[in-house]
Amino acid sequence: MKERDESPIVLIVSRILSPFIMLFGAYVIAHGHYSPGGGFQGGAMLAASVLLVRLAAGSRISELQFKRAWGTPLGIAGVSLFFGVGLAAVLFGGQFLNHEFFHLIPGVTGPMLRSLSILVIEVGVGLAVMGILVSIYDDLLEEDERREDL
Amino acid sequence: MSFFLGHYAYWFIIGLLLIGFYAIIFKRNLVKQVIGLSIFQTSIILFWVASAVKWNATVPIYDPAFPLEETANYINPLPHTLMLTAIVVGVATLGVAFALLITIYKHYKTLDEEELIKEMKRW
Amino acid sequence: MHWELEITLLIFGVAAAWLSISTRSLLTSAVTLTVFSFLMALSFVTMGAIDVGFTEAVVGAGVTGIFIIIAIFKTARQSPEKPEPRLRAPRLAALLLFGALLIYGSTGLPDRGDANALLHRDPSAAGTVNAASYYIQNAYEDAATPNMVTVILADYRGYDTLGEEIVILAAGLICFLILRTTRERRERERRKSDRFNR
Repeated sequence: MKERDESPIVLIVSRILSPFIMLFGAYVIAHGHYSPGGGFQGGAMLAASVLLVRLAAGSRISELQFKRAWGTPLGIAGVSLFFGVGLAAVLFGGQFLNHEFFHLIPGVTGPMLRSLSILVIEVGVGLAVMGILVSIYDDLLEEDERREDL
Repeated sequence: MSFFLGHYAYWFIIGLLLIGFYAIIFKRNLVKQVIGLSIFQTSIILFWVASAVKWNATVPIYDPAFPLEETANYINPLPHTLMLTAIVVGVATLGVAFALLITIYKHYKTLDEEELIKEMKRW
Repeated sequence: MHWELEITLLIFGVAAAWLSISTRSLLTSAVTLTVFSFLMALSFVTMGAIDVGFTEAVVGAGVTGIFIIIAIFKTARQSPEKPEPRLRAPRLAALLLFGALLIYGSTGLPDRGDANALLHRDPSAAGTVNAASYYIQNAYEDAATPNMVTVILADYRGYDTLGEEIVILAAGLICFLILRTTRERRERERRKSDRFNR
């Protein structure tokens, strides 16, 4: 934003903290089967780790971590992953989003198969939420950043 | 007393709904109105969560100590699921609302409701 | 569920909500809205909705606050104390009518926490199996996943979640289309404003 004072402490702390928040976000997505958490929460935490660096260090440094052009494609990739799980069940001869027909990995059947496809869906949801939240942030800040470049 | 214990959360929710509704219809600043909308939405989520409660029940995560056959052991998980997605959709639509507000401000240089209506009539 | 804790959190929540719409500075308003979201997250957890509380704490208190502060910085920071809008009486009447109707309706709701309420009862009002009871009893067997909310979210009600995903994607694309301007359009606008200034 306008009139930013570059404070080295804020910059370094946010850069050190960001990967750990990202790791915790990934843990929340992966561990959503056994504890509170899942795709929505983990995706929002991943987005928060990116936004932390964006707020503290400005666009030039945070471009190195997450490019502003990546947000929307990541969101589309997440939704496609979710849709793909549903469609795969149709291709294997079942109904849309019926996980018992999601035979991508041989030897896994029944409840474990459904558990696995829930994990795939959570990853898709997490990617979509992360991408969309970061892209909304970038869009809201669009004009100021451009003025810095000029 | 049991009527009070069964209903007090609804009265707080009604208070929050009225605060949100007051901001939407009385405030002239559009950002304030959006904040009121956000409060209104959160109180509706609170209503769903509050009505899913069962006395002496545990959270909806399977624990072998509580048998699954007795459904009174677990809080109703269905409203939780519906509201989980509603929160995230709420923040995405809030982003859309702010995108519209920023565009309005660029065109008219004001976010005051009545001044906006005046400006729009002039054009 | 502890009703003393719940009442305390709800009183502070109502106070924070009132503060956030009655202050003049919009920044104070954004920060108190964040406080309100945290209190709501705590009361969700008190009511046993740990997943919803987690989401509210991350999304409502974190990301919403950032969005509001950006929007305030991009527009005007103060909301100047203007006279109240016209048509004050009908608006007040609408507000009071709304409140009275809600309070009248709330007396007819079943007691909270009653396991035999219509929402939780096992054959449901139509005489079929109650959906929530079915989910509680079968979620672990069907999907080998202890967290019932996750199973309902991704498996039983996958269509719902897919729809919400598409809504979120649409919202992101709308922001993109409204705000992200192309280079040519910016050039055109700058030329127009230069001509205007001369």
